[in-house]
Amino acid sequence: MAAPAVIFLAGLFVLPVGQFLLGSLFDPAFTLKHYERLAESRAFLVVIENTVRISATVTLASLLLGYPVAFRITTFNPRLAALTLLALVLSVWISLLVRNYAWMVLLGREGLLSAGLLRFGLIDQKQSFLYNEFAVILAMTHVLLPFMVIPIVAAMRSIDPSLIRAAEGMGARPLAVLRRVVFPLSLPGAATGCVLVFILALGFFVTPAIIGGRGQIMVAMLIEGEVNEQLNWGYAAAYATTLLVLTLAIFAVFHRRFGMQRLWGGATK
Amino acid sequence: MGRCHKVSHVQPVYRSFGYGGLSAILDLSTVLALLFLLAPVVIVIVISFSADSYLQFPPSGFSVRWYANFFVGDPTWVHAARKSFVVATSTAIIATVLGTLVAIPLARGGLRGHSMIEALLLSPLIISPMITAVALYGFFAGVGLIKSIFALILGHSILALPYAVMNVSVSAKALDPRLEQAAMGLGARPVYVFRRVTIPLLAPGIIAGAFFAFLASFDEVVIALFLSGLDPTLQKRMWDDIRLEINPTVAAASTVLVAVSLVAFSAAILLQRFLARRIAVSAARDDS
Repeated sequence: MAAPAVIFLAGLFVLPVGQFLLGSLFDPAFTLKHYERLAESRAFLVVIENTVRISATVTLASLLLGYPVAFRITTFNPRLAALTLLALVLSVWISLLVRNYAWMVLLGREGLLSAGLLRFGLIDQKQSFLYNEFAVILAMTHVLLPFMVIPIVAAMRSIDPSLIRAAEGMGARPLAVLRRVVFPLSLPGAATGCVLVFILALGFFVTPAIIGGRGQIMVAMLIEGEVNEQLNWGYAAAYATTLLVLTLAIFAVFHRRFGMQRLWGGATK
Repeated sequence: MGRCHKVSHVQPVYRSFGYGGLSAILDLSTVLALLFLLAPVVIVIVISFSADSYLQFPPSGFSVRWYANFFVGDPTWVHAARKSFVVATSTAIIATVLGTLVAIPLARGGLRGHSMIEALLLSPLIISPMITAVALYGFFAGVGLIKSIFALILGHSILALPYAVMNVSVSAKALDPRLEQAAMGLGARPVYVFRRVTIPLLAPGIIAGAFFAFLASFDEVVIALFLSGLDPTLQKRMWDDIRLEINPTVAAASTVLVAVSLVAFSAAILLQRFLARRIAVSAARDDS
């Protein structure tokens, strides 16, 4: 019964993606020229650096905000915990474009931030806070935060309660229990969240394209540009292959350390 | 039973975290995180009822003029919404049928290549949607399907499939194989058992999966940018407007999208609970 889905994905996903990526090596005979140009391109290096820097910052921001939230959800009474998780999951199912557009409304020239700062005399005239790195990181963290929280909650919930009871029974204060028992045992969940957020961030297109400026061009935007404007599929494929190799390398390291099973719970919301 | 056991023991253990400064920090960060996630969307909903001809917050007055523009004034919006609906419904059907068939053997275990199949199902969510979109664009151009609505439906089905599988798996893991064995023992043929026992018992997961698959398509942007041709989906239509200028009709369109998300999401969750309870009740009745 698994056959139809496997054939479907093999024919309509693996084959097209494989065909596209192989285009980076054949034109039509085997060639390395696309990768040679890529290696010499200063602009490509800058874009890769942008992509990794923005993704890493978003991962860190999500972790710092998401970890305490995950711990609070774990310690809430079941009803409140379920409600908070429901709100988190619901936010994932609101259109990404709508969530990004919301930041354009808030941070734009006529937006709430500009009006508020003007009223308190912190700026002299209306001003846009869009098209910079801060706006991109804010909007991307907004989209990716739930992917950090959910795996951490799962890890914290799987901690054996008797370990915590034992620590408390031996006189450990709450902060010590948190630091010495809960924190170390929640690390696999935090690692899952970080890998998930980082990998998803690497491939982002919509947010940097509409909220970012020239300094926030990411790899997916480069691929789109090569296909739509330069009409150069070979280079597009070389960019895509680089992005994919980067993604798979992180994925492989994670898989060796923690196994892939964890990602199922996180990635599928 | 396992679940009750866990809840009753976890609570008192963690109770010591319910007091003091640590707790205040945790409460504050949770409230901030929820505000951060939901407030911007609420502001878009408020601003969609603005009477102003450009976006400003707070609005100087309220009206439904942007909804009038969305539903009546500019027919391209309703046209785009209709296309999105057709594509998302077709995607939901394909993803749910394929997803149900693969979720059952995955949940039962013992399937050859189990982890390979799981990785295959998951990979479209992990790989950048831009890679998938561009690859499909090239592929469908090659077979002359690029202008066709089928290309978009098939593309969205790839992304929607894992959600269907995930939801059906939850029901499939909870399915008691003795119910199917009993039906077979009473002489039912395998197809009959599948249709009258397996599928009804999996209904909560199948229905939830269908709604999530619908939303995965309805809210998808990047594949739609490449595969919707000259006839845009709602997401593509919004994208075109956002790139040009910040037009308040986009706020009305956003509110419509949020409403669709809320309806589909609540329907999935509520139906899942309702059907699961009905199954539990009939199972309890059979036990007694």
